[in-house]
Amino acid sequence: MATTMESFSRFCLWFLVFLPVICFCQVLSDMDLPAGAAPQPNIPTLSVTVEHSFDQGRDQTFTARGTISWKTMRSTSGTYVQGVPLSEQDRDRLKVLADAGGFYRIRVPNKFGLIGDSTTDYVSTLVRADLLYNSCLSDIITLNIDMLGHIIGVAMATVPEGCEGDEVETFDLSLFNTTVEIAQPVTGPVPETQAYIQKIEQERAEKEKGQPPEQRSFFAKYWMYILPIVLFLILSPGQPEGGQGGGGQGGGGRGGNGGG
Amino acid sequence: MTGQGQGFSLPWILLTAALVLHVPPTSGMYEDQIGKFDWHQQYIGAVRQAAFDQSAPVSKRIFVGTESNVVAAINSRTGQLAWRHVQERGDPWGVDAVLHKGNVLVTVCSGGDAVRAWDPASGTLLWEFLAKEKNDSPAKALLVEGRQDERSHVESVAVLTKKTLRILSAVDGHEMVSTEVWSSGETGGISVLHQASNGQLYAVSISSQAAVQIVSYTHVPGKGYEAVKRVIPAGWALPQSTQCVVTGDNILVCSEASTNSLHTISLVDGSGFTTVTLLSLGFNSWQPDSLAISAVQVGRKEVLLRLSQDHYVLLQATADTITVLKDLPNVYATTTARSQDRDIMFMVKKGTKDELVVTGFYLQNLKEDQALTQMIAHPLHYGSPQQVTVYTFLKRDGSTGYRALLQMEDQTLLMLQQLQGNQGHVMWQRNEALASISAVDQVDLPVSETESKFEEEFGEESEEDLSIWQMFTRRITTQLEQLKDLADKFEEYRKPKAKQVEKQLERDPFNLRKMIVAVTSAGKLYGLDSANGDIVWQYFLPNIRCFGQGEMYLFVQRTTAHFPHPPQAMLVAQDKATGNGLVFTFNPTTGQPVNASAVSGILQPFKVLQAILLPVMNNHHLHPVMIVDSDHGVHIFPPSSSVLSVLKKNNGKIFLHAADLEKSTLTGFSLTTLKDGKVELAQAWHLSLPIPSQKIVSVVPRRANEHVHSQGRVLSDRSVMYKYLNPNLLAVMTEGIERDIPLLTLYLVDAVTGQVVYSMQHKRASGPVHLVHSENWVVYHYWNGKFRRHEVTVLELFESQGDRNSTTFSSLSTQSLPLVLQQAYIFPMGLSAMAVSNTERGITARSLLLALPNGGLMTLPKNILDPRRPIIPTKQHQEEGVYPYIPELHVNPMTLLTYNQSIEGIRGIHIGAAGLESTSVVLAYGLDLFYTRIMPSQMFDVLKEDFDYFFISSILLGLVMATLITHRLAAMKTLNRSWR
Amino acid sequence: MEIAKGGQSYLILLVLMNLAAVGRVLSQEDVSVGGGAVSSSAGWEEENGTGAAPTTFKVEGKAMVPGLKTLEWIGDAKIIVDHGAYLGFFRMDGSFSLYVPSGSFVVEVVSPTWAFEPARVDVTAKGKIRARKVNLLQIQKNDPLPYPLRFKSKGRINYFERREQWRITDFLFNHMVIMMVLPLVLLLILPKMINTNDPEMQREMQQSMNMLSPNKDLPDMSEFFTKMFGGGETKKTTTSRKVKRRQ
Repeated sequence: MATTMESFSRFCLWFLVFLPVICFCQVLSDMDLPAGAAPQPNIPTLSVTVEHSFDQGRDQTFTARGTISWKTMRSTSGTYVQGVPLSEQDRDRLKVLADAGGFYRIRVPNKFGLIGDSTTDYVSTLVRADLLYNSCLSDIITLNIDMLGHIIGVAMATVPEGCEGDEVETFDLSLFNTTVEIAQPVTGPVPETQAYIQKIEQERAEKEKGQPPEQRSFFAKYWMYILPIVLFLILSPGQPEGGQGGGGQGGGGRGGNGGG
Repeated sequence: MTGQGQGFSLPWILLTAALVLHVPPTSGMYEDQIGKFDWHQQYIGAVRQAAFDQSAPVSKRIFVGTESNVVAAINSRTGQLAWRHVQERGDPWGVDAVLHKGNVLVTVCSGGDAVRAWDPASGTLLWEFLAKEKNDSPAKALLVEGRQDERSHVESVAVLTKKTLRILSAVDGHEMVSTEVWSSGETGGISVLHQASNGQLYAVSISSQAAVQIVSYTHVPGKGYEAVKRVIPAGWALPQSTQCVVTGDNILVCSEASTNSLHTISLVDGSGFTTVTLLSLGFNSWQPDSLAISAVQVGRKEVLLRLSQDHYVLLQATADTITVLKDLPNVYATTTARSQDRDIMFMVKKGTKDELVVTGFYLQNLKEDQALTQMIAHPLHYGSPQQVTVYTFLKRDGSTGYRALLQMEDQTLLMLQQLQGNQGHVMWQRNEALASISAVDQVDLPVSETESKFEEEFGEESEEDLSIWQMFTRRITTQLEQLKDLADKFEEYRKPKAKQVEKQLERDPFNLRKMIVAVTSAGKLYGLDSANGDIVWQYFLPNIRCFGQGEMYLFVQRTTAHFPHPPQAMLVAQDKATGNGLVFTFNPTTGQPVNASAVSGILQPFKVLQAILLPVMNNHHLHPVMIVDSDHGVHIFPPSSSVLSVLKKNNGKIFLHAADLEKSTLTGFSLTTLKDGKVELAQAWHLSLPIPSQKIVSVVPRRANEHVHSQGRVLSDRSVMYKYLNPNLLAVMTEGIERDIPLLTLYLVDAVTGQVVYSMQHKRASGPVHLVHSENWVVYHYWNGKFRRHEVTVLELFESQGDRNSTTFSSLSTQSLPLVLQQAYIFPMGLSAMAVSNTERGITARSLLLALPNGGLMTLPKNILDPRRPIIPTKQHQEEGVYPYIPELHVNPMTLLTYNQSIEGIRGIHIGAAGLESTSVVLAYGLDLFYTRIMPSQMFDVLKEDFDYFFISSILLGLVMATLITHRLAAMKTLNRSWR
Repeated sequence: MEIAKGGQSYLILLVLMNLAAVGRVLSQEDVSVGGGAVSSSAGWEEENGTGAAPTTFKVEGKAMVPGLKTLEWIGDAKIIVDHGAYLGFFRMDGSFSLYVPSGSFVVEVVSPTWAFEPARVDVTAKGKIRARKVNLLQIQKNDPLPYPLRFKSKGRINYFERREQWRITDFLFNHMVIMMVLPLVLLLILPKMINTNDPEMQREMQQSMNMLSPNKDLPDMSEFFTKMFGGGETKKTTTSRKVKRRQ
């Protein structure tokens, strides 16, 4: 009895702490939406609903999780607003899923608009439930969109260092701490013909100016001829004819080298 | 003294060192290597039309037109190609007509758009006529004969397309007449072109409005052709089930399969059809599907009706009656030829046993001539005969001899010659099914007998229940056997046996010799010896065809590496009749079906969406094949409990993906085992690409089990760029039109999470796209419409945050996106296929193989396509070995593996790894087959074949000699000196 | 980081487009001055649309291999347009004709033995045809070629490496070998040539040896070395002094 009271009080405390955050988020999104809609009047809102599922197997039921919105077609990041906190039931299901090594799935409609009907095609992805659980619901959602605003795909990554403290308590997990990234295809490369032609012309101009070819030092050029001579001179013990004199020569040479 | 010795030997050492270092770098091949590692087989595809040469007195050639759009001349004695011309591609029906008479050889292609006359001897073009329309249905054509000086000669060529009748001069191909045949709004269905003996031309067509239209053209000298049109109501005529022919006395005879009736009318003056049902003719069994009617020969009055695959009947038709002349049961195919002023009908029949009988009867009296009969054995792997063409000649004794060209169900061509006593003889055969390979693999050959004994001894199954003595005795016996083998070999070497029994194919020490397993779209399976391209085994599955995209799935479930178990391969194809899946398991080295009771495969009760080889093994070392049906249900082959337990162990770890090309979506599934042991697919992720701007054209994963030797690239400052080696990465290429501009988009997608790792777009670019994906890079070739040139783009992926510091990659726990480097190059040509080399350990540098439109197969080292090539190189780049950037790539003829051979119509390149790390074996297939070896980093693990053994040994010998002599000299000198 | 990179390449693309546009205008002027009537749209047209009725134009030409009769080489040769989009066959006299819609095409003679230079053919919507050299780097550059096309072989295609043949002369005249064999020869043969038994000769040699004075020679050697391996002035003097002291 006491423990439930305690957990309830803790929940209330957390709720109080999070309340301003939620409000702030909502304010932000309110501010964003008109700003985003203004420059491109033909697209009403740049926002989509995110749904999630804890089901495994073939039949998966998705429930609403929150909303992602972003400013313009060229935005690289967006904001996430959670509609309702995760229910206790969902938290338990996440815990069970995490223990069983299952997957947590999200999906997003492939076009703008908040709600989808039965004809809507969704893009979806999955993440390991234990990773999400252990990161205290800290995740990064990436939406891939094209120039015309089709949503091509969605990806989700968890932030392992999203948790404070060692133990993860199930009741902590009611609100997602989500970062939203928006990605668009980049323009493919073209052969750099212009730069190359410039380079060639530059080289030609330099040649015409009559610059002498680069000069290497004498040794750099002819080392392969010099080295054998030197080696030969050093290593040959002298003419066999020289007899003792030759021997003296060699000895002197070595002595000299050693001295130097 | 010793000092003196040194003085002598050191220069020698330096000298030899200089010699060894002085080896020139080489890249191309040498002229004396032609045909040493490579072979080339030329094919023409399934023959549709064949005509024996009439231009030479002794017929030596057969002119053929094929389904693969080839016009060719075959030497009738050897089966070799005399000449071959591949026509414009793109028609599913191939060559429309091959017309040959006297010295005239005319071919009609592309639905009548391309009419060409060839010189029969050299195959050189004489004239051509190219129409400006685009026809999408086969055309009818015939040679129009005129009379001059009491001799008939070919005057012109008449071509009837869907819309127009065109008459071209046979001399130079100029258009003499071109008339619209059908009135506007009406489209011709089945059409027939006929020339009556008085020179009048008839064009007959069955329109969709249940009417038959007959147009007659009369040649009026000086005025051209005069057309008279008649429309005759024909309520029975359905264009899709009706066939018509015209007999020699101008009677039109049509067969209609849905009402099982025949209809005749006179072309000259008939005003209504006479209908005769098949039942009223006295037939009681026929197959409506194979009901077909054909004219016996131009000028003859008989028609031939096919009732079923092996049952014909000879009929005679007048304007209002049809009479049965002769019933021809058990006949597969017929043809007519003329000899000594008699028309002979030749038939290919089923013999009393399992042999084929070719025989003939005279059309005048319907009497069979036993002298014309020949019999040949009929191996099952040919299927039934489909078509026969006969050429007759006079034998020395004045009797009629003939040669028959048979086309079998498996597209094989057989040339038959009659020997003494009704014995038939196959002069040559051409396996034309090999021109349409749809799945291919290269399988290791089994190890030799001695080595397999080792396996037997040390294989894991024998280890447990043997005592130490048993093992010892076994060891001794094996060694004794090895000794005996050695003795045998020595004996064989001493006196090579004359009989030389056909040896079982075995693996060579470097595993360079493979078994090429080829599955063709005709349903024929071949095992080819990769050393010379000879057929080792063949097997025919008459009831299979390719899936929608022209593919079949061929998996090697067990290689030869697990000795006591035979190797096993599985083919997953589509059943011709039902469209359901069909599974056939066989031994890839012998071609024998694994299951003796399922010789034509096992028909499955579902349609196949996808089939994959699972990366797990059961306890018989067999990789199970998983087939996903169209309802996303899962079927495992073989369905054993051990496989299920392995799958259960890997629950949630196996992912697969399926692309829906029509909806342009890509879906990932995870394989989950349920508690009741069932396996099912759960959707893991889903990507949806917008149509029509991004239609998926190809999804290319990395090669399974690809070995990557080097994990990173060392830069000049000694730091390392680590490769992003994600084994689950897919390269997805889409093609489409966005706001009227062609667009190409490339996505790199993780196949486990569906994460788009990278995406890139090329505006104003279009396909056909050829893409290869290996290690950490993607290379693709496409058409840049803006600059009107082909370009090649390379992407290389590196880890963005240093070393991942783990040896395995998991898509599920990886968070960071890779760093992508990219560069584009101009390629001077289009491509027909592209592939990347693959070696056993991945140490050898990779090389790209490009099939060029001129029939060449080119190698391009991957390090030429390096996204880090700088425009202005620095010293650092030099140190790293990065070439300076040059935007245009060139085709160096020395990099062509095919040297001066043209490999026509390459559709795919299959690369296998040899046992030597330096070497890959390459099979390019399409219309032709070409096989060779490549060594992208030169031969670094074996001596070059031109290694100068003589020189090296003579140098060594010389050195030894010199040492001995100088030693002796030195000793003498010392002796002399001490005496002084 | 990556996005910035993408932005950069986008900028480059814009620049390129501008430059290309300039080239386009120039080439147009070129043509109009030269009297040809090829409209500038040639080369800029998209792949011919499938919807419109295709109108084709006849492109003609002739090819030859110097020193060969036509029949000797056309057996395995053919013409391809845009790497296989259209196909042409040679007639007996080496001439050919192609039927192409309007646009810009690369026409190549494909022969396994003989090398030919490809040509670019521009066909306007009205059917006017011009030919120019293929330049993939600068697509608009106009190096005019005669039309009807004339292909002349540049020679045989060489597919093979020359086998490195080992010849004794190659070996002997290799500079490394000369460097080492020559001293060796001098070393071995020179003493033999001098009659060592002649006492006068011996004395003479002894004298010359003393004249050469190996002990004086050595410091020079070391000086040489120090000069070579980067000794300064001071170092040189010290070493030579040292050596002298030893003597």
